[in-house]
Amino acid sequence: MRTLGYYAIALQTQALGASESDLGGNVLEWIAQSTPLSKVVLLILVLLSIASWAVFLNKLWQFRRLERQTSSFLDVFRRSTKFSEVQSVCRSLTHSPLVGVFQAGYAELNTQLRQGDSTANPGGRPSAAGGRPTLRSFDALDRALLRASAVEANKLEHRVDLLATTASISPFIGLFGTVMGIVTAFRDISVTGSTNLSVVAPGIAEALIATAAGLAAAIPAVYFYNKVTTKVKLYLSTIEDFSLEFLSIAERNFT
Amino acid sequence: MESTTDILRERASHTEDGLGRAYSVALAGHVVLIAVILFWPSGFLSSADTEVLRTVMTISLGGPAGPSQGGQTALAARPVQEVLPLEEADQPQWEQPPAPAPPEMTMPTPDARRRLEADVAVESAPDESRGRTPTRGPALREGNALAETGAEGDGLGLSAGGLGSGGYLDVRDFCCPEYLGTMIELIRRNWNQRQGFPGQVMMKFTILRDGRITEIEQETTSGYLALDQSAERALRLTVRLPRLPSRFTEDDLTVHLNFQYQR
Repeated sequence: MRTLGYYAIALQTQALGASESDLGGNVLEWIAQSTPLSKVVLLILVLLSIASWAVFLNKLWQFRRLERQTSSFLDVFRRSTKFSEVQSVCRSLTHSPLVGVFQAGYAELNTQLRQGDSTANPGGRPSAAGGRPTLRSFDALDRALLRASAVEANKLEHRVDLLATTASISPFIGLFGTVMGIVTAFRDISVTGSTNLSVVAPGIAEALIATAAGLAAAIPAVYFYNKVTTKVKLYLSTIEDFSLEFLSIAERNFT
Repeated sequence: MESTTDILRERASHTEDGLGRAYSVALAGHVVLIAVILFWPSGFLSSADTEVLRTVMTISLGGPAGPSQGGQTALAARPVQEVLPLEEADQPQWEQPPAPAPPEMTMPTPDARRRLEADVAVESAPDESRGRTPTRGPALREGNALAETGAEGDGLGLSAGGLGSGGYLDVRDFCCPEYLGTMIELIRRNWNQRQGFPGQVMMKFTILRDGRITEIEQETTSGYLALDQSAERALRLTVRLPRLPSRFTEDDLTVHLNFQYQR
């Protein structure tokens, strides 16, 4: 009877060996075997991930340039005594949001001063005027600065929504892929009629790849979103600060 | 001179450059990352624990009673009618000395004294008269003959029906099942399956090349100290197993052995 036992051992060994090689452990094989739906899910997740990384890198570069140019602009702005000097520097520092605010404010200032005193100020040099020109509407200047701030804020926040979207929907897309994969796996069980773990496990493992991919796309996106929005808030307060500074200078000099 | 609105419109329409570059960098990064995950040498997802790389097997003692314990034979299998005989091993023969020259014929002495006859009748041969040289030849002995029974199981049936003596084996692709048979038999001799309480104890141990059992650990408990101790005792008493078979090439063999107790 013991010999029979050995024979059974040998048979079982073969069977186990076969299922083991089926499972493989190779991600590439799993993806190749998966259903078209889960392939589409994985593709969407990869695209979302690429997009969020690209936006983050782009924002990173943009912010670095912005910080450099803003600091040099502020340097020029605070050292010079004339707005026209600052205006001449603006052309080389277009990436700084403060430049946009300054240009808008300066244009509004110029327009008002020219309308108020066209003879005393032909060269567009409001601060260099002899007869101390005055502003007609201080509120209009404030509004111009506010408009410029809004435009700059829009530019700063451009495409940040993509990061938020990726962060919030990627896990759900991955979960969807997993659920559909598990549905397929259970249907396979009913087709084969076997609840053997070697039949069930590969399907579920394959389905879970989608969730893993969703998380892999979402986790960096959450970090990117938080990083970018923090930076944007910082720049918005800088813009606010600058427009107040501009307003008070205008008030000191032209009222 | 531009008006404020013109300036704002111009600023708003000026889109950020460098997005294309960012996209290509992100794409390249993803391609590299995915390639690394897919083609990682030892499988990115499987753990690199050495325990997994070593041959580890799970064997169960006990379970449903087999024919040696008065139970049924395995499903889908016929009883063995004839066991293939063991092949006689080639044993080295002693070098035989050359036969001595035949003795010369001698004449008996005519007037020699008669030897005294024994007074008592000899009923059995004395110990000295027994042959000292061992006898050789085929003898009945317990061995590890493999039998071709012609039985074909459907896989599930065999595992459900037990191994003839109960229990199951998860041996991956271990080369030498006959070694496991010996191992199980030796351990079973030191183990008492009937302890009065049903329960399972999973033990883990390592067999070194020379057959010594080391690193005996208890992996799961049955909840009863007596059953746990009995399983460990069986392994400690089985101090030594046969040497690991030469076809098995690794340094040691780790076995998970499941002791199943019956009432």
